[in-house]
Amino acid sequence: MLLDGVAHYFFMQRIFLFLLKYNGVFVFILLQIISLSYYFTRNQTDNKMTFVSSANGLIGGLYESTNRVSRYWNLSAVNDSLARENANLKMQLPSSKFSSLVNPITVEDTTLQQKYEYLEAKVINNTIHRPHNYITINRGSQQGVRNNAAVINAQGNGIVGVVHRVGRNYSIVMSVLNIDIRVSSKIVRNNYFGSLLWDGHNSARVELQSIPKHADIVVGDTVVTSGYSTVFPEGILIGTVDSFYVPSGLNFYNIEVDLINDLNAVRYVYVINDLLKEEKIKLEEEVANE
Amino acid sequence: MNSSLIRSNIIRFIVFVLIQGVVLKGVNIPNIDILLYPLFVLMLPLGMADGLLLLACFAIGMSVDAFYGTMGLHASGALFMGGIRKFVLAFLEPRGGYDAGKALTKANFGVAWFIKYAGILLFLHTFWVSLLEYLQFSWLLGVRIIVVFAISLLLAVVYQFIFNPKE
Repeated sequence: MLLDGVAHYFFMQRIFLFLLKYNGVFVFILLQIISLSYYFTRNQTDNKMTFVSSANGLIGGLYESTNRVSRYWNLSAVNDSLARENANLKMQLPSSKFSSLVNPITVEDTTLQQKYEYLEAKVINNTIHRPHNYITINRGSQQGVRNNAAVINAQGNGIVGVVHRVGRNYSIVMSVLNIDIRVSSKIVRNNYFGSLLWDGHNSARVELQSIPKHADIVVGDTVVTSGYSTVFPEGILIGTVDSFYVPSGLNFYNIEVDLINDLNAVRYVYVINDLLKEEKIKLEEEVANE
Repeated sequence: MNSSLIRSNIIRFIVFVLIQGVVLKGVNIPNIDILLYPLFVLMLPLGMADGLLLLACFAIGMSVDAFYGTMGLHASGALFMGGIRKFVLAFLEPRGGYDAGKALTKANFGVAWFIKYAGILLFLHTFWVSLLEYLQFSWLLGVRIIVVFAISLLLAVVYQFIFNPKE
């Protein structure tokens, strides 16, 4: 009995010494597992490690203050485009339109329900030269930003990205220049839809895939979001067709699309929350589970 | 290890992370990163316990990841670098052996030794990080690895000549 205890003690001690002697190996393996599992689950939006990103207050705040200095360099360009946008909006006011109706009948319309909610936000950090580009904006859950909301440019309404991580006051947007992004989009002229992605090289160009090869496509065709996913509303501008070909042996076009936005010059954006998203997802899941 | 050595490493940690996250991240060259933080791993002193060394590598990698939005990529890279450092040091061991507690800098070991040491480790680090980030190999990635490696080696050596740190 006593001998058993002694043997057990020495056994435990040897295990302890073994762990101590090779502590580097164990720490290495453990930490490497943590980093790699975090890296390879980065696209799961329910990731618990949102705080290790610029959505946290410390780094977000730091970027906001450095942005306060650098944005002065772009003020005049921003002013010009805001003025242009103002002019555009003023043209759409009822007062700037001439009605040709002699006796306009007004109808109280209670059937319309708000589907999309727009929030304006400022870009406080942005990259375009990496394979996985993210944009930090100065709005978070407190201001009503939700995960997977669409983000479009406030100047010209082109596509910018999708909300990826939401902090309290900051959010991270997966830029359209991210090799992990997929956007359901279509060609306006004939309504053929496909999937949009980025190959990681040219920051002015994205790729449209899965358009069948019998579709008739012309250089210069406008490409917009399809609205089939729950992220983007229909008809958000993406760009124009630059070139296309059918890879040998495939039935689908490979289409190069020129982005309408210069992603490097995006300063102000709108975050678009789909208020009826849950209902659509729930219905589609029900059908998928049948 | 004395307290001033610890203090200078902590200061280096903070300064390198801030420069990396605020200044160097803003440099827009397609597919090229300017990496300063590996220099922190290079200069960590001899004689640190393995576990502590790896924790320091993990911490600086994760901090850089937080700024870059790369989520574990640089943590893995810095950790890899800290893990193989021991073997590179054994390979480059001078005739008299190492003195424990010395920082691995040009002032303590000479230019030729430092360039060899930094060259091997920085190349392996760049290779690891680039491969992990792109998950494919092409000639373009080869060019990226060489350019990123050259820039970070240059940065490491120039840093030695400007500050000539002893600890």
